[in-house]
Amino acid sequence: MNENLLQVQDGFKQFNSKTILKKINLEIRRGDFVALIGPSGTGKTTLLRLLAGLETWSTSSFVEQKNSSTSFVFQEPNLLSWRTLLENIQLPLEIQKKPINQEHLNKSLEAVHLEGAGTLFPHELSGGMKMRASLARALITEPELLFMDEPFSALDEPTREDLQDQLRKIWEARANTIVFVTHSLSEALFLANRIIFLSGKPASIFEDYKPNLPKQRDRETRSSEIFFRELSTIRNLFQKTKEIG
Amino acid sequence: MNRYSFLVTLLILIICEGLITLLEVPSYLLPLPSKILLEFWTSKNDLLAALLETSKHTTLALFFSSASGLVLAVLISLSPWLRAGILPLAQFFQTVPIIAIAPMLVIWFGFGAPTVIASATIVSFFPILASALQGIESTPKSSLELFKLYKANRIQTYLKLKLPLAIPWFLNGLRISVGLAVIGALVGEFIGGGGLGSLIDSARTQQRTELVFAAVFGSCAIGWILTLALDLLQHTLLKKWLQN
Repeated sequence: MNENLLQVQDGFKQFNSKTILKKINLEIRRGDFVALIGPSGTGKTTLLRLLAGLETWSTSSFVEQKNSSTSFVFQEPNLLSWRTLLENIQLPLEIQKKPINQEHLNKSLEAVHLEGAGTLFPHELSGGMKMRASLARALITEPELLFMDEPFSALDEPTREDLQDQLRKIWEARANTIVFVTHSLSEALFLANRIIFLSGKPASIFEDYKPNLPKQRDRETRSSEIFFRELSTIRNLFQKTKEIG
Repeated sequence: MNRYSFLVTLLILIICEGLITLLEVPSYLLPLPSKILLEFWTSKNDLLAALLETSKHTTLALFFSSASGLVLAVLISLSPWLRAGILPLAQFFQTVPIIAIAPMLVIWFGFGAPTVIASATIVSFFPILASALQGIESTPKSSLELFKLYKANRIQTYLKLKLPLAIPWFLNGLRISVGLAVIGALVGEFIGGGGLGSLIDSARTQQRTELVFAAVFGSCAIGWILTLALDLLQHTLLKKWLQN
């Protein structure tokens, strides 16, 4: 079994004395692709931010985070408008005073299909290109743990699927660990090897589901019979989370 | 100034010329536009010397207020203690009329350029401080979190994020301060001597209303040229930077 990168036991989170999350027991193992899913307002983003260390637990009996490098992709691309795409991507390296290798940068651009766009400024990019750049920036430091908060939610369906394909390929090639918040059941199913359902108010983990899909996934996977069967299963699970509240 | 505003200005001047002549308004009250134009030519040496002096004072004051405003904005944003201590004081000084403290400036700095520069710096300082501070503090939370995740230190966060983001705000403050700095310089010159302020004052005592008007238009030109220079700087150097 792969080692745990992140472990939380009995995690509680309160905002202004209102409990948002209760009794969170979760382990993220090296190489996991975890999707966090649940009805709107259940605290998916809060849980992601807690796992990433951007928020602190109100109480917990045990929290462990291995000293692993992390990166975060926000809902908005968050590119700096005065920097070119390439300069935006190399920003984490500059901050962490790591050597900047042009070949490495070019490969990062290629990985997200942004070859030749390095000299463009953010205002010259489409929404999909900005999100790709944001992904490339998050991956440039080769993080062990990548957190993603509904990164593709503002994109149109074809661009979204294209980016899902690229993300899945990157994860298969690099075998890093990804925790991904989404509203989309099909996105969660296509990308993740673990789908964690949150439900209730305050929210807790309702189900930790492992879809029965092949590890290698591509466009064909989305139209396969097994994909639809699994989609039906997680749709039922999601319906139950809504019934709980 | 575009073609239409030039035509409108010309039309207003022609109407003024006609009305003043028709109503026989004494020239010491309201001179004819043609006489003001003539005065520009007759007193060109005095006007140009005064204009250059006031321009120099105004530009120096803008430099000092920009530098001090920006540095103080950074310091205030760094420390809640400084914010609580300095910001209310700066806001209080903003409300003190410059004309009321100008005589004190003469006592402190003596007659001439130092008083004029101090006067213009005082009035142009606050908009720069307020705008730069607002710019620094308007940094999106998600960008700050991004820098936090990459373990950026305070200097990196300021140099690579907060200050570049504050530049458009700072330039907006500077644009407001240009007009105020000209006013501050003229007030300083009324009291401390020199430049267009002194020229206006002496022309007034001699009832040379044409020269007063010519000097007033000269002071407008300083503000106009400085704003134009600021626009030019913004559009050429910072075009890409400010595109979003």
